[in-house]
Amino acid sequence: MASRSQRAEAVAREEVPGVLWAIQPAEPISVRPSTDIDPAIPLRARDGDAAAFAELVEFFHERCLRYARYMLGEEEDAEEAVQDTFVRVYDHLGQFRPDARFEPWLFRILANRCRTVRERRRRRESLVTTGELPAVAAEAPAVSQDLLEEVEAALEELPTEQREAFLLRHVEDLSYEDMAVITGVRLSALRMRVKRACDTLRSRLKET
Amino acid sequence: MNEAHDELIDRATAALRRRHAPNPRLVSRILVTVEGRSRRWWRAVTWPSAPFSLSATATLAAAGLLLGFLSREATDPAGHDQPVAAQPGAQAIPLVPAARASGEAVPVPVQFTLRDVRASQVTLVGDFNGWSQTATPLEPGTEPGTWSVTVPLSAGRHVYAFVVNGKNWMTDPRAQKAPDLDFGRANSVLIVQAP
Repeated sequence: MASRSQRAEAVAREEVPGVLWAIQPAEPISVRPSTDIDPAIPLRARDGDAAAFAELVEFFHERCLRYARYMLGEEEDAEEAVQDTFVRVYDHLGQFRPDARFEPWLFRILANRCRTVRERRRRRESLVTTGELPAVAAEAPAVSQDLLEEVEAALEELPTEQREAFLLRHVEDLSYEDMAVITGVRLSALRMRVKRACDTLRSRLKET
Repeated sequence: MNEAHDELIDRATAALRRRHAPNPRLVSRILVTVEGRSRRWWRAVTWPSAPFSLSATATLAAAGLLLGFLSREATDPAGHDQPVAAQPGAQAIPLVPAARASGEAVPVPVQFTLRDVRASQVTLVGDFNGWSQTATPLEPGTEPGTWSVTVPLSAGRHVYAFVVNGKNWMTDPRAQKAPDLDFGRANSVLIVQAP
């Protein structure tokens, strides 16, 4: 039986009847990022091995950045959240238990950093709207030209909790158990969020 | 809830995963940022010229310069009110969560003490030792089940916990707790004040 990743790859390479916006990918798709990292590396980093910490950053920063981009929308905010995350990881590696898995521990910190950055931005924007008009008017959203833009636009319309759950489950391919660790939300609620996110995305994408 | 094959969602997921590129500039920035930090900075802290003994710290406690309090329950040898022996999990009880300020820019010796009759090994972890589970072991006291260590701390807020037998992470039940959303585990808070 084909795995979820294999299915996604197969679907991405074939014509899909009834899907009007389906296009061929312009480049090979990184369908399923590897989440396998030697469990000894976080422990070595915890014990002060700078090279091991650098390896952790190298290994995970792309996925962290991608998640933060989709959660925050802005590249600058995403980089800030990811940098904060790894600095916090560095400061608190001593709390990382040898029997724990590093990936959900990291994403828990990242998800919280994203919420913090998002909240800070919301307050900042609130100040701007109640004060003077911004010096430069925001650009009108570009018309979606390809699949990625269509999906991103649909994703952006999701409530934050649903977007978070969808990204963790489908894009980062994490288990519901890991998601519960990351978000502190019960499995049943997470499943519901993912389902609602999928329903909304399906509906929005079919419209286009 | 069925998450079976869904072509539309699979295509959307595949598209989203395409945005996946290394960012060497960000990696460098992160590594440069952490390079200037030391998770074990407390090791660089030097003791005051006249070292404080545990008894000196206790004297200071009597003089009212200590933060925290001396717990009657914790010092009761009969342990009448103590749930320690009755509960399956040992409970750390601070005898003297103490802090004493001895002048500007001078670390304050702080004695951490707990009572746990089941402990065979106790270490102190906190923001002051990089959360190292090996850096600050507690020494057994004269009374059975009592453990203590004295650590030089700067004035300010410190977060800490005890690790018993290398695996049980314990907050101080008599100290304020510091919930941490990121790590999902509460710790205890100690405020060290300068006089």
